[in-house]
Amino acid sequence: MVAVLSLLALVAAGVIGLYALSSVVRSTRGAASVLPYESGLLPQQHAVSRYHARWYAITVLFLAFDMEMIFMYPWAVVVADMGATAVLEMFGFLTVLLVGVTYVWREGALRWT
Amino acid sequence: MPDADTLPEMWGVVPAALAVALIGVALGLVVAATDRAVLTGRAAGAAVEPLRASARLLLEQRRTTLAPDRLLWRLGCVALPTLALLSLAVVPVDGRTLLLTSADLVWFNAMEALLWAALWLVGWGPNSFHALTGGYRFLAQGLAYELPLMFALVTVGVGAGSLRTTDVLAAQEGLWFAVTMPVAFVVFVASAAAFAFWGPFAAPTAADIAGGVTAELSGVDRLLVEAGRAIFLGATAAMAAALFLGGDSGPWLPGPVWHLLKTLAVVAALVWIGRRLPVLRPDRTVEIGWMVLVPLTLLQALVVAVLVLTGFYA
Amino acid sequence: MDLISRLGAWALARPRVLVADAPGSDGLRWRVEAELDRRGWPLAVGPADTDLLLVLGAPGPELAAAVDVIWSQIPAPRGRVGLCADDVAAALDDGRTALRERTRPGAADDRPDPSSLLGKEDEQSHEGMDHGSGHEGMDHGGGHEGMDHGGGHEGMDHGGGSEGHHMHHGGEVSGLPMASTGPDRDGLELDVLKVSLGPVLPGWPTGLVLRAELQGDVLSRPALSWLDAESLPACRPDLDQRQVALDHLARVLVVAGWSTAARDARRARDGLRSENRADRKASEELAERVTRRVGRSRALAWAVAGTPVVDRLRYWCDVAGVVTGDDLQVPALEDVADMVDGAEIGTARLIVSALGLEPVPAQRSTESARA
Repeated sequence: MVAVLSLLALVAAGVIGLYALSSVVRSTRGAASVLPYESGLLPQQHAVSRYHARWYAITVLFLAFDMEMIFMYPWAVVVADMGATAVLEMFGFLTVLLVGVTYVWREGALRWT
Repeated sequence: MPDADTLPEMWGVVPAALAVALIGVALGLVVAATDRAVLTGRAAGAAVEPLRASARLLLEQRRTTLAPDRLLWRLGCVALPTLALLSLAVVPVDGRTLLLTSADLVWFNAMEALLWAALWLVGWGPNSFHALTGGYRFLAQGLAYELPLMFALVTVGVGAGSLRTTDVLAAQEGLWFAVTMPVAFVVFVASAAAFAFWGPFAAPTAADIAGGVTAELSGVDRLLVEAGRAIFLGATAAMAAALFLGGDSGPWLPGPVWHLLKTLAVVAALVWIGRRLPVLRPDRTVEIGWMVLVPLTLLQALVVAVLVLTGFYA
Repeated sequence: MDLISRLGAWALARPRVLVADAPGSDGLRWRVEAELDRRGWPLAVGPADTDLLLVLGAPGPELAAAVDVIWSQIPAPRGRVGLCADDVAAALDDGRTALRERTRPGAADDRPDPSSLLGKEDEQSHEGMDHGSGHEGMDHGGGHEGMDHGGGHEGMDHGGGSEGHHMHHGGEVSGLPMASTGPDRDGLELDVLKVSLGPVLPGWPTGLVLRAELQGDVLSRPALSWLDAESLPACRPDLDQRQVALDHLARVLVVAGWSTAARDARRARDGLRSENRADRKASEELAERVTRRVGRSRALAWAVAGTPVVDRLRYWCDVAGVVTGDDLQVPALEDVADMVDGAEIGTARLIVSALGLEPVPAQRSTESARA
């Protein structure tokens, strides 16, 4: 862990160093205060908004699988010791999940345009 | 194996960390130079172009837009190269890693998963609709490629019976994993490129949304984002060489040279193939990710699990 | 100091260039792009990654105002070059020299304040976009919590001079209102943003403006118009149809994110004009290779499936390869608006770039079938 922390510290030092170096060498100190780019026209509204993510149904499906992954990493380590039962159980479980994915796909939730 | 298990034990903590950071930056420069050579179709002088571009960005003024979310915006910019370099902590250098955990593959996975947040923040921050659209495109893209990437990593873990990269290297002494896990290999590299929002996976920064998440970035902020992307691609190539191509195993030459050569080969293949494709739009690829890549990688994992049961890798 | 100037000179050896071409200056733009490619100067995607702003031809007042806004968004050191028909190479050299001068420390940053730019808009015409009462001091204080004030989509009346009260239920922050809300496909009330695409975008016919509402990444209620519609050139310059086709192809490929193919299409386009026979021959072969690659690309076909882009791509490829097909009708802007209504923003961009729209004045619409 010490090693990772020291890597993190080095990276932080590097990033700060880059910012410092840039502020020394560049011609203009302050940041340019500009309007967001709207291809030459002026923005009419603030862009930060409740973005309509039309694929939100997929995020739920994803979460189900992501939880499953938490089982799968430790399973990978013990599969050789546990033998065929472990393989059968895991892939049986995955098959159930895949049936769910197929259902979601047939419902058209994986397409949104 | 030599008596030192990790890089810090061999070289000391600070030199080891420094070496990993420098390797990361060097890999990033290699990726950027290769990409540039393929993009312009001219190899001459491509090696210095990334350095020149970095100097240009250092000399450039930074920008701030109207009412930005400044904290989150800058946090995202800084997080990208940080996560890319941290993911290198579990990539073996000379047969040893900087960080030795019982779950190195999970560490790599975790760093890549944090990229979701980092890049989305870069898109959210500037209060610009192009950037915002790019940020959300990245999330959609993540939904398509995250699971295939995870399954590819799990497949490696199953084959090696361990989630430790050094064990994965040891398990490939007889046969490279790429031979029995070709699908996992290709999916790993492609999905990691998707998380580096590069090439055919550059929808979050594409020209059709005027640069997307990078639309409002200039100066050091842009340098950090582009460096993060290049370093993560380099880390991916090095990790792919270690996980699937036997890492530093090879005749005649010293191990690190082999690992470097394999990494360069992965970079070259990735850039060569990737730049022959247009941007793959996330709204079309999510379906492919779930209906093709997930079943394929699972099938790959099943094949490897059966091979493990038959004692193939023992 | 000297070290920094030298570093600047080295770093800006190949500045990134944003090209804003006034309508009717296609030929000049091709010459410029050929010269940029020869020098290895990359094309910028937007103001944030631009060093040198290149204004080609004589933009009308509205396009010139847009170029000024873009100029205000380019970070220092920045350079601006106006080009009419002079020596392209010399103008680029001068632009780079001036740019390098500005890397010296202590250069003044004479940039208009964003709020003054926004304020200026109030005095200018709104070109049919009815902002209603605009920006006068609605100080409801900060924004997000105010966004739920139901309402307003039915009031979105662009034409009729209504008060446009819906713009203000969120109050203003830094001189801009927050997004308003509208119903979505699932019957939810979600934010809709008023956005504009164009006049200056990569792979976009310069001068065209698409104003629409954006909900998530879906465009709705689009309206297209040309800037400076009264002062557009009377007729288009006579250009080689194959080069025009390759140019349009390159635009679509830029928008599709296929940089290498777009680069080859541009190179083929520029080489066809060469005096040297061998160069022309090579360019014809390159054109053939590009069109074949585009025609065969399943990834591209997949990305544009179900849109009018498919036909257009085939058409441009045919014309580029001297297969003279039927003349393709360039649709009217109202029809284009119908095509992009409800499209994802990337799809809409592909459609607009593929149609081959040209800023021909309305009274010459019979001529537009010529494309």
